[in-house]
Amino acid sequence: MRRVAITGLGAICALGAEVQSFWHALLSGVSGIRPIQAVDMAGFRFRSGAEVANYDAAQYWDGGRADQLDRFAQFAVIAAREALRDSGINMTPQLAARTAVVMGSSVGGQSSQDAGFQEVYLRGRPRVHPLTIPRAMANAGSSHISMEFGITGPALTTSTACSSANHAIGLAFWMVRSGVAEIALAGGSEAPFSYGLLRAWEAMRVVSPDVCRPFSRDRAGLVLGEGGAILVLEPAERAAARGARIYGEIAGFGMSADAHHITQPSSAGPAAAMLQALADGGLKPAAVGHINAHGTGTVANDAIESRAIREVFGAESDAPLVNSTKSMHGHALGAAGALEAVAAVLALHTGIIPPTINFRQADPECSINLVANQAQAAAIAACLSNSFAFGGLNAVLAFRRHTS
Amino acid sequence: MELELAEKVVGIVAAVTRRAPEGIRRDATFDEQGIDSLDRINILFELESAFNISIPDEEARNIRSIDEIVERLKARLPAPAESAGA
Repeated sequence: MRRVAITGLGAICALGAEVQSFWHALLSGVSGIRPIQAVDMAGFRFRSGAEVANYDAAQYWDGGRADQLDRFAQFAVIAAREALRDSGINMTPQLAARTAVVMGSSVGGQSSQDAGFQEVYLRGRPRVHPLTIPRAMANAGSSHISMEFGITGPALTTSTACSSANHAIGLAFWMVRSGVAEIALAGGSEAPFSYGLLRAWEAMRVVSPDVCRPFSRDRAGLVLGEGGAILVLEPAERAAARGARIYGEIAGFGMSADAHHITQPSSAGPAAAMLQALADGGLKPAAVGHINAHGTGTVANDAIESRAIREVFGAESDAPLVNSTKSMHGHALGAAGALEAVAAVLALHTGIIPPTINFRQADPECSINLVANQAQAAAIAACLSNSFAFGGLNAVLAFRRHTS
Repeated sequence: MELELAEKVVGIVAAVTRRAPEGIRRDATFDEQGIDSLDRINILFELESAFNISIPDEEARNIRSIDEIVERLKARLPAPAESAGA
């Protein structure tokens, strides 16, 4: 089996419109969580979100072409442009036929659908915009990436709620490792800020009224975010031969289903997914120095995830250093795993682990080695990035440092 | 008035959880009765509709039994005569 290198990164989210500003904000402990602008939040039980600030699609598309894309698909293409440019890959037609695009999205172009349905239900009009379907379909991000670069190999979208991007990256990793694809662009994108969807999240009673405090005893829920992120994957041998910069390797991928409850998590499924990611990558638990946690900041997730981490790695003081970058970029649902993969890969590459901000009080239910409030230097050989979804679908990526 | 209120809440809990009202205890916690987190947010949703109130998330997290719901409703509802109305 081939080793799989990560040679390009792209990201856009509340912390920045490209990887450099995203990473700098993460290390500085900057929060991208602010009062929501897209929707009038008067009368809501929460007001905060992590939106991409001052975003103007016209900066990325000429002549109104952006109108064909829902905001979530725009984020997908913007991240793909940066990642492919970063990789230095010359996408010839021959290579494009052997390149895969695998993207995650939980809710797709729901704001386009919401806008269309407002026309018929609220304003009583008999028709909606003709591009509502192509904008709203969850695969639009993958489709627009393939068209943008002329990529004609396998292209698909995974939709497993908050695990969507990890499932996408994991499947793309397996495709490159096995030789099904030579190159893969993999990640996720999401843009969940519409009135209808925010009301639905409010009804779930899992959204924090203000900030996100993962693993803190006084945590009060998640904060929604948006954005997109992409990793360029290729065989390590190929990357080395063309002299590419290698950020690290994907070592393994593990997935599992809780088969337990549609919203209540359990620790067995997440622990199984972590163990499978380790086994798939031939890693021993002791090799893992860092975990970018799912860490949503909900009462249930953080306690269950902490238990799962202890089940896999033990409770010793040398257990992996855990962070939740959602404390800064919010919970970007189908893009979450992709943003967090970029954060985990850069932590591995640079030896600095971004903090979990807003941490105030230790919780006996969350007994883990948390990187709290300040970034921490740590030379790590391997790390995990966890994603666990409503519906009990778990996906864990294992990364390791590249050695020639 | 309190009895009437409690009966109404039991009725809502019974309807949401699809159980007979006689099998639902007011003093036991929801956990003890196998009423899970998803049932609880459904119960709160129905309570908000029935009593035309809004229950904050933080308060919702601390409600563990029907007795506690009734206590909070008594404190919240404006006047007894209007509260248990249709």
